[in-house]
Amino acid sequence: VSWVTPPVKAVGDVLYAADVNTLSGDLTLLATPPMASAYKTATQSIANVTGTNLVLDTVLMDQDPTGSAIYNSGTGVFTIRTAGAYSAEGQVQWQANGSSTGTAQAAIRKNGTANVVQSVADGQNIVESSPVVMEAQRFVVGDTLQLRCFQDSGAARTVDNQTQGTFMVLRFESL
Amino acid sequence: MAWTAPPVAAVGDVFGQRFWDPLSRQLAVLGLRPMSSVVASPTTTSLVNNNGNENINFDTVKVDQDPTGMPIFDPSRKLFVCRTAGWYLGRMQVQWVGDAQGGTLQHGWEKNGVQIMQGDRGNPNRLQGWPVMVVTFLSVDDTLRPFVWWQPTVGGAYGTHQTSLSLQADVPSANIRLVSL
Repeated sequence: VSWVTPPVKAVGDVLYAADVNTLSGDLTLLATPPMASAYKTATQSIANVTGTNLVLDTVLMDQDPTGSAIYNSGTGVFTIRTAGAYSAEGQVQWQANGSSTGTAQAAIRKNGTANVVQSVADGQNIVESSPVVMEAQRFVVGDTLQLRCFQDSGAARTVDNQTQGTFMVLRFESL
Repeated sequence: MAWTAPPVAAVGDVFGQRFWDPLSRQLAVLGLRPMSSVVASPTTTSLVNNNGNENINFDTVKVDQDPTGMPIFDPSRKLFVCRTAGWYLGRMQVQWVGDAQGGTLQHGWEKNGVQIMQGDRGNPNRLQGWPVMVVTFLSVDDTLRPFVWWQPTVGGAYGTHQTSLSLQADVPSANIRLVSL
């Protein structure tokens, strides 16, 4: 299913089956838009001062009208299958590691090269969350996004696996 | 209200009620997308430490709409009730008024009374706020509750003395919205 511009009719025009199916297809795309969400059920150790891509091992949901999976739970990569404007939310939940220095960070990285959004908070010796929100921006087919983290506490720090505390969702907003 | 698959027409079909009704229902769901936003004002919410997950004093509804016509937010239980099944995104933000007791501050989400998402930070004796988001599938009558929890540390150990900590007024907010059927 892909978006087709809805037909415009004039008085006296005939409504064809294809016109109805266009409306049905467009409605399906709007009602069940491209979207994928995954979260961590296994911990992951993050080395000091080392930006690290996170692999979210459990897929909560994954749908796209092309039928292709958006998220790869083996690599942690979200891949755009349908072009459009997308938003994303994510969070990294850190375990305490005995250090209260440095920072705890989360980011969403595009195409493996640049962070499109990033959050930075003081490092705390306590379970600590780093939420990150990507407001809508346009992507083309094949673009990739990935949840990423960084910490400089002076020692390795573990990303937690409580409930869905470390997760990311990618959501289609508009054509 | 349940989503029904859009009709597929074939050549020779008459475009009558069989096609019109599901298209109309689907547009109603998309046009009046289930959504509810609430804020806590004007008073602060005061919390007892280590008292389990507590409600936030949400007392003002900013938006509450569902194609069923039923309210999503339940003001007495301070939680959201699903009226139209689907995938929902929940977002909440809480600003904590910190104090010198240290310990852990946490807010998050409960689904049907079970904690499914949380964000934690330490208590640094200053204002501190952050959002906590969740994605989950809700069936009709499922509930999603934004909660807060905190526990101070005393002498390096978690304390259990009864001391309250406040949330800043006018800041706590929560929203759920349907993002996919």
